[in-house]
Amino acid sequence: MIKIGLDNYEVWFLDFLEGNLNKSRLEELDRFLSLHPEMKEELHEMELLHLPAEKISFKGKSGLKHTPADYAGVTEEDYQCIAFMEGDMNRSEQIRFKDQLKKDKNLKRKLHLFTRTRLVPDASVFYPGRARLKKKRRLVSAWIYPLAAAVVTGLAFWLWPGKTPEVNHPHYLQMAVKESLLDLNKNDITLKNSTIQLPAAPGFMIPGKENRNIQPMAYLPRKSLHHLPVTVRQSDESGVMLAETRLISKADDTYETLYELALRLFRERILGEPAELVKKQQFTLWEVADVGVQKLNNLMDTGIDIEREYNSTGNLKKVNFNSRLLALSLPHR
Amino acid sequence: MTVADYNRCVDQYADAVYRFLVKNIRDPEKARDLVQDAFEKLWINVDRVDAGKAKSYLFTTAYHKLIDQIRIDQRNRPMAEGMLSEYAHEQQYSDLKEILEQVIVQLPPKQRSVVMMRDYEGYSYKEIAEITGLTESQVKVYIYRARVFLKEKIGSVTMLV
Repeated sequence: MIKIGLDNYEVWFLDFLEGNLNKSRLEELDRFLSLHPEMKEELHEMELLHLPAEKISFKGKSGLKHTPADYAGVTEEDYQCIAFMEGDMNRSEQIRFKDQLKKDKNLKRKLHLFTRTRLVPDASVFYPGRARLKKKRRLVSAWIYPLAAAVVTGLAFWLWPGKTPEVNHPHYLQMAVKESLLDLNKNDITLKNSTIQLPAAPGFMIPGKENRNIQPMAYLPRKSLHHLPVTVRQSDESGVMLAETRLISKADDTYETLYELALRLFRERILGEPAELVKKQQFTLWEVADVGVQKLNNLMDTGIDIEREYNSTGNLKKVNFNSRLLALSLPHR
Repeated sequence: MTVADYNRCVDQYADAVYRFLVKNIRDPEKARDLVQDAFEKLWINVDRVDAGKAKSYLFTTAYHKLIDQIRIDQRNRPMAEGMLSEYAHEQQYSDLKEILEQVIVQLPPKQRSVVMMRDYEGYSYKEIAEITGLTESQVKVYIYRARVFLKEKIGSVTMLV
């Protein structure tokens, strides 16, 4: 701050009147006034210019206020009754309200009406499908199941023997039988030409995928073979003769092709049927799909359903698929 | 939340949620679907929902599905509320419970829901606010207004009877 002088004393006077001067400044102002006593009169005049605070108040203040009852849009009496029954009152408010009840019969009647508005749960109402809501196991991400189904289907198509599989195992002989070499015209089937080879490496070999060895799904007992017959059956539709390679052990005549192994496992473990009853039967894609849907329903608690629809002559007309999200029909050609 | 916790929720809360829904929309079939949806949502989020909060979670889901359903119904049947109101006045009431059953449907959906949660489940204003997404003050106001409406209706109907 600039030193006080005759050219700036008004600023100092204003700061003095507003209480903005500290102790050292006040002493400086005193020294200035003692040097210039005529300025005291001017300071006094400036003090007179200060306006005292007016004591004016707004008388309609209470009219501007709102009660909680106004806020709720109900009358004060209603508000008191509801607050009492809802437990929104503190102790002193409750005492005051109870005193009021003793004096006011209308208020008592009103409170009685309010208490009758309290809803009571209807114990006769039950949710009918409670058992269906329950779950058996923890949820697995929904994409897991379609993925698993796709993988299994893919493997099934890949592994499924289009022809009789050749078996290649160090403990057994491999027989490569070519259909063209079979004489189909004779009742007694003779093997015109066949090759017998020792296996180069262990594992099953799939026709057409000779470069890919797969670990055996099940090992047959390591017993020496004494006989290796070839059975031939005729395909129903094409008339092409198919050859099946069978392995027969010396001890118990146990033999099983890869196809038969899959069939037996499917019948025994998935369908739960005794193997001896179904050993010679083939299983259809329909059975696989039907079992797959059942397993999926058990696993996910879904209600997926597939059914076959036949025409009047008994031939398959279409296949219906029903689920909660999707329903479609596939016509059969 | 474990599978056992979830199944316990089914036992403990399925009826309560169903009651809340069926008394609100008056359509048992739709109420059943909404209960199923609410539990389905709980099951999908079973790993994320704490067992202690499951009831609140179920009511929150049920409430929002209920409001959506009411909006759909109102779009399809704009006169439904009015018709119901007239119908209610023509009924012969046998007891207070029946009167309340008829009168409660005349409340606006939000007021009806909050007063049901308050009375059926004993939820606090705060809990109802969390379930409905309203503020505590709004919940309180809705409940007070609903009480006044019900009181007026009960008063007039009981006088007639």
